[in-house]
Amino acid sequence: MKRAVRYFASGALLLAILCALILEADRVLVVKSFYTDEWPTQASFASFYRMRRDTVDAIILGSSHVMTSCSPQQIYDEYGIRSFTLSGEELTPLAAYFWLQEALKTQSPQVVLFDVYKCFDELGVPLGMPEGTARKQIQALRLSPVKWAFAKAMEAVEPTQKASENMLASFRFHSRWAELREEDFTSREMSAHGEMKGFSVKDGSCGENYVYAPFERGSSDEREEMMPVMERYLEKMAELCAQNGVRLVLIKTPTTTATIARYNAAEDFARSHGLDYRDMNEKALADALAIDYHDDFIDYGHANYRGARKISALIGRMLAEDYGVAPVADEQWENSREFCRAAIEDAELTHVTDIHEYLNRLDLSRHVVFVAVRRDAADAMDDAVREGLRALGLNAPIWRGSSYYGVASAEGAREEGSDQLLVCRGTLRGGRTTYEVTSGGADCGDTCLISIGGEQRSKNSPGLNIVVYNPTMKRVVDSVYYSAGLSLNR
Amino acid sequence: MTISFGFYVFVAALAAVYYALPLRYRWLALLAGSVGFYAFAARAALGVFLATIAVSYLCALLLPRALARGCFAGRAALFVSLALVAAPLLLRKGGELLLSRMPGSPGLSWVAPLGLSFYTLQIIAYLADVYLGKAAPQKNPLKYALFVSFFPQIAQGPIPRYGALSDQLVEGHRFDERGFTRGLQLILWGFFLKLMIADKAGVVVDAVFGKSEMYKGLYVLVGGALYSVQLYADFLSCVTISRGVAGLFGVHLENNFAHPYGATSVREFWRRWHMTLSSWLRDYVYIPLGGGRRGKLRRAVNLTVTFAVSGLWHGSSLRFIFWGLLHAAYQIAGDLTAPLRERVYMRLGMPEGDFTRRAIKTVCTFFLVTLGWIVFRAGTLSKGLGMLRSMFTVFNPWIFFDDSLYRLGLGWKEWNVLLASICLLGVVSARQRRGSIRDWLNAQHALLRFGVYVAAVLCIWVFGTYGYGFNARDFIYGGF
Repeated sequence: MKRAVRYFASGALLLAILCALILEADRVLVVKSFYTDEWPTQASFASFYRMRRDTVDAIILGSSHVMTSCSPQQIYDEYGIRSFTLSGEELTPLAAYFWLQEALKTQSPQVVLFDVYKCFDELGVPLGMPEGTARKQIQALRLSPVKWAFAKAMEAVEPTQKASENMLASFRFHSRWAELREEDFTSREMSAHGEMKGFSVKDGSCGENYVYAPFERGSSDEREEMMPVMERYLEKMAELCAQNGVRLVLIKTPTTTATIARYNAAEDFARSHGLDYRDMNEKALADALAIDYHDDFIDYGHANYRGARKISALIGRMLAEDYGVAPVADEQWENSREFCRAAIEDAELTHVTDIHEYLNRLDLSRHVVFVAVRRDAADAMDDAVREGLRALGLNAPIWRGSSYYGVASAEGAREEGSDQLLVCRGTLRGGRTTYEVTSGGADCGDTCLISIGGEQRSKNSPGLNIVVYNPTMKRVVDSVYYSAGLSLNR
Repeated sequence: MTISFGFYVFVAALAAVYYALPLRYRWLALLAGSVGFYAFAARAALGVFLATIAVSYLCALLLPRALARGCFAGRAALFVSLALVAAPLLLRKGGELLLSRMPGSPGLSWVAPLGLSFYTLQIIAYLADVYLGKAAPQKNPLKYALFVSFFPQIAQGPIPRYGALSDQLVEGHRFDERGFTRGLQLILWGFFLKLMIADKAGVVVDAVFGKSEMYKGLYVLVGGALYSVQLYADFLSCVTISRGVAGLFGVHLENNFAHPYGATSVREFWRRWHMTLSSWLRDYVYIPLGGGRRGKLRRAVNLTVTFAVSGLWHGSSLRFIFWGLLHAAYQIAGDLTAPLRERVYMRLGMPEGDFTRRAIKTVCTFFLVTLGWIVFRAGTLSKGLGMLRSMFTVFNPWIFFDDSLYRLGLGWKEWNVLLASICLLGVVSARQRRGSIRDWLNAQHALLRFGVYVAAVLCIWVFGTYGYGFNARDFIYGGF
């Protein structure tokens, strides 16, 4: 008997060890998105979980449209309102309902703004979103009865989405081991950055193909039906908010796919449920926004940082004046100001065309600056350029036809000028990212390569080549080249 | 289903009940579990299954009485018994063969209880053994039902003989931690074979065979070779898991494989592959037909009939019969050419036992078997023959160098995992010829043992092929 007990005890110990290791393996395997990713869906919720209890007064809930349009930092800076953009790619009302349920466990917002974009069918799939996106949304939640209910709800709509397989990452992401990246192993460290509070800064301008055509209210009686399952979950969301004393407001950010038919359907829903509906594609609000679509948006529905500035200002005003959300000083927003400002400044940097202004905007507290010469940069080196480089710690020994490289960071600078081909190698971020700079003057190679993380990022053009890298965001902010008398080129 | 979590919850619960009961009643737990398992897994066909058990039980009791009346009565009783028992299988196999050629014909799925092919042979062997006096008929209907329905081997074999299994099932076993551990080890190894080799190889196999109009030449060889591996690993895994689960209850099931791809001739291959089926065919088809005792021509005919039956057992399509006949042809040709091949080997300075000779024979045997598997796997006989033809007529060796193989569903990392797993299988097979690996492992310190188990589970968890898009529950041999 004693032997049998010892046998099963050791078996239980082995099982416990295995469970712990499997859960850890799952944590590594699950697909993640962080503040550094293009669409930081899971980062949104990860940072939301870390907000102190009952400190979020307004939640802006919705898809990637909301993610790029609503800056909680700006809303706080301008109105003192503590908001959070709880957004995910293609977030449907079905997913949003469970996300909200989870969010209300730790927060008691006064207002929830929900973007109704995904109430309508655009993809022709039962879930209203691609399978991979659905996985990301459910994986954003911690293991809990809400996550299980979410999984069951998805399975009810799309039977291939087995609820049990959504609870353990390996079943959905079993082949991900072949795509693991640094962030999968440093997720705890990555999750420490929640400064953006769900907002994702975008840059770029959309082309002429996108036509933004705000409509006049009442100009048509057309109605487009919402997806029945989405409408049902929108109703559940309304009930959930009512039960928790939260004011639910339906919104729609500017998109070129907005129509009067959808507006009418959403307006009808709002009216029948005693809710407000604010559609920024309706002429009155669109005029108030004064959006220049081609300048303020990167595509049909995602604002760049300029458009986000306008939309966030409108949202902040709405929260303060229409819904009486009071300003509250909170260090969670005070402490993130610098980070958010830097994110915007990095986006603005890519529009600077004057070399002197460009060099002045570089900030070694958050940038690593790589400078290298191809062929000849002597004519580019006027006093102002030398002064700008000197401010970065680079003396820039550049002469006619010379090779030159310079690497400047908060830790110091290294540089070299020569008549020979120059190669410089090193690492950033505590050894995690490699770099290699090659500079060849006119008679020694005539080349310029700046590789970061194995990827060549310089323009490799004659003159001074500059690559600006942000180690916190783990990405190249900008890559330009400059020849004398010309503006910066990209 | 032996890959599903629910199955192991069932096994754990049944084991708890089994060992909680008094020794002499433990077999009842196995019976209840087996019937319950069958009812859950194949409720629609439960009636046919139970009826077959009942009929064969009664037939076995009547056989000695018929024999007592005389040889003719005995044979007639045996014939009727076999016909009754084999009727569902014959109806299923032969009926589908005929009906498949008639457009719009209904299927015969209602005559396909779980494990039909396996338990029918098991019962036929039992009746034959009773007839021959090798076994006494089981008088207890419940004990007989347990013999037929024992759940670990009902769906995928091995095909047990009454004399080897029946006593083990009913005698009741005390909890033996060594046997229990060995059972768990077999289950773990079975999962490795299934998820790390069989299902991973299956991705490429499905691509090549599913798009055979695109993949010709050496693609067919790659697909065929991988199918050989997939089939072996898949079948070995289900048998290994069956043996492991049975081992948890102290029941020893026969192994079905003895490193078949190490065979140096097709004849030897059949002594190592699906051994319980091969021995069944030998004992109940080949030897009753006369075996090799009546001259070479008669032997060839008996061999042909036996392998035609084997082909039909595997499936009712013409390609399975062709495959069976191909193996018969291999062996007949092997016999005819043996003297010539011996002279060639001796001329080349390769006597019996020479390593190079053995290697050549092993590779050639694997190649011949693979040709048969290509037809076996192809959807139709004509498609299989077309694939074989293209293998010899389309020249494309660059596919091994230009990353073409990485476009068949597995990236280079997955290929590496697959090849490493196949190598591990080879190492384990080679090591097993020198002694039991489990015995060696069980003699090691707990740290090493735990380390091996943890590493194995984590490897399967992380690198295994399963989950969304991969249905690991579809064991290939469960389809027969």
